[in-house]
Amino acid sequence: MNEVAIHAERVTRIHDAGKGTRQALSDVEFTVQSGEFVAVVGPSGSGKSTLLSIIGGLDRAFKGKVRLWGDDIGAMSDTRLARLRGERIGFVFQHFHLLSHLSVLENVTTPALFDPNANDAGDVRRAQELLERLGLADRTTDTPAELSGGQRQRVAIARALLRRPKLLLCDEPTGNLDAETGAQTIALFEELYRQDGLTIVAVTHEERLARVASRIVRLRDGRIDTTEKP
Amino acid sequence: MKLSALTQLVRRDLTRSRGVLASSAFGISAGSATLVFFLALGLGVRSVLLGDVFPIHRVELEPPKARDPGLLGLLLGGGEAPGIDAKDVATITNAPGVKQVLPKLSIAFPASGRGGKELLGHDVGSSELPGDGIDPLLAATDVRADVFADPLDSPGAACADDSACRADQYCEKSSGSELGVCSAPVPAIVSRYLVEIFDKTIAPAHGFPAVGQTLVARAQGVTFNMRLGESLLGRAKQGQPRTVKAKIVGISPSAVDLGLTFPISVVKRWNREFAGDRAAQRYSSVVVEVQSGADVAPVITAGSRVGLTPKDSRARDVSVLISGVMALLSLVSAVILVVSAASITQTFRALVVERRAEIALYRAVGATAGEIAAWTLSLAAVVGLTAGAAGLVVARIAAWGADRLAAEKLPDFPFKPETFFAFPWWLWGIGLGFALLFSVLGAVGPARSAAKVDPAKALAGS
Repeated sequence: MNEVAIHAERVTRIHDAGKGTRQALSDVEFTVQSGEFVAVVGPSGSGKSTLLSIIGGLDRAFKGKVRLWGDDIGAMSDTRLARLRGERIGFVFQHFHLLSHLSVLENVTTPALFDPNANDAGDVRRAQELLERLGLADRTTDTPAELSGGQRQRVAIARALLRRPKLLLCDEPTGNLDAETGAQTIALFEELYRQDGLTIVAVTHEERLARVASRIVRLRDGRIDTTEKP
Repeated sequence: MKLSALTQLVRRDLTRSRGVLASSAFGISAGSATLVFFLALGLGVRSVLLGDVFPIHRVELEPPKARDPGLLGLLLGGGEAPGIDAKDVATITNAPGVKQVLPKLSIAFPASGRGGKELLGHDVGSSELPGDGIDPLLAATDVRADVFADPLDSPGAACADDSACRADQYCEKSSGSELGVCSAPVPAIVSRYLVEIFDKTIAPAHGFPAVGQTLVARAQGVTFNMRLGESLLGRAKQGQPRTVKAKIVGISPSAVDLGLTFPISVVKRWNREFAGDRAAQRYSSVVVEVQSGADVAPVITAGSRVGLTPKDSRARDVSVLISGVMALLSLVSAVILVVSAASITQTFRALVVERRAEIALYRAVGATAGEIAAWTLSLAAVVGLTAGAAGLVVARIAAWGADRLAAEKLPDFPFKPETFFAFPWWLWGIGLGFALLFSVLGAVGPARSAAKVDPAKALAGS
């Protein structure tokens, strides 16, 4: 039986929006088993990205309880949560968030900067392996400005995979890509899920990405509307 | 985070933001430069004034000046000069903070001198030759102890007159004695003040060469005759006037300003011969060496209990004045540093705002809030240290330039130093330390802001 990777109980998040407040999530119950690929879909403002931020420990201002591999992240210190993010979670963002002043290789090895047990030579070797696997072996010294959108997203994915995470959290990973590049990226996620057994939670509007997931969770107005198999 | 990773982050920042960091570091550099420049100037001037002009590690106590004897006193021949006896010396010796008490004894009889041919080309004379005697320990740092010592500590052969002695000796024979002993010339030291006066005033007026710093080396052979018990103004009340040989052996700030200074045992012997026992036993002043400047006040208090007052309070006045001026100039530097810290704050705040997404990314990939703050503060520390080092270089160059300018443009004056600045090792530390401190203080607020960046919000934006 698979281990429970994510377990969210009655998670509520209220955003303070100046004069008023907005309830982004209401009593959300959400569980992901290790090795699952869950696509979270829903209209804009339904709370998808907020849910992803809470699961990833980037947003701590929520009510309820979130457990990652059994540990309550709400009870963790900032340092412990940061170490958990670094060691077990990889993030992929719609806007890539690559550092423009660094080369491709330096971008990929960025997570190693905050690894207390980093091994410089080992990290560089791992980054080169990932870039080779993602078809970017000849672009290691380029800067992000010299890459296409699809290449940038692949660099971001390589960065997310550097420290061999158990969980990949993706926020609209194909949102900034054209159809062809988006299809290549979707194929890459499917490969990571099926071949590498990586647990993936992807927030998306992209039906093609949702179709390769093992489960689709639909959010509406901050609540889980339906859960279905594709 | 490993130190190597922190170094890598800071190095990358220095490369990509060098322009903005350099402009914000300019103020820190200027503040550090002015601080070090002014402190070095104050230390240098203090060193010259308190080291050469008014030494402060010693305080000289003397009895009150002799009172006006009045008409009756003049008719009766005046009174006895005030003095310090052995009991008073013991009282001062027991005061807290006293290292040692070294008495001085003024020559209490008329004397005159003639000599200097070896140095000046022909003999010059002094119709009245004032002087005193000091413990040789007082001049130990300026003249070798075996050179400035009573020659009768090692007396020569018995003699009736100078012809019985070697050419470099004379027959030391006190008043009324038929026989004496051959003696080396009596060693004498002079003050730098006297040398300066000679070089700047007397030598130009009479066409003599300036003796300056070469005096000691050349004067080793300069002997002169000294007439004891007799001068242009009159004769001693007792003893038979006689002539002794003396020799200048060095320059010392412990020497009397105008006159000659001899070992105290010599002056005691002469005073006993020409002015009586009391003149040999009552000191004209005592030099008290203290453990530190803070001990001067208790010593002065102890001296006042036996009726003694400081001979010269200018040292303390000068010290207070210099400290005040240094404090004022340091305050100006502190203001520059505070303004610079505000500039650092502005720059780093702008950097944090500009890099919110980058900070958020670092948080997402495993950075703790503390590591983000440490990164910001480390960058500020490197900026501060670099700016401080640049400031030190600027201060040193400015000091060198000021010295060059002073050497060329200022006229010669007594005690004119080769440099007006002193750069002890700890001053470099202060310059770097303050630059580091104000730079890091300026970055504390931005570092806190950086640590508090909400990663979810920052990453949600494009």
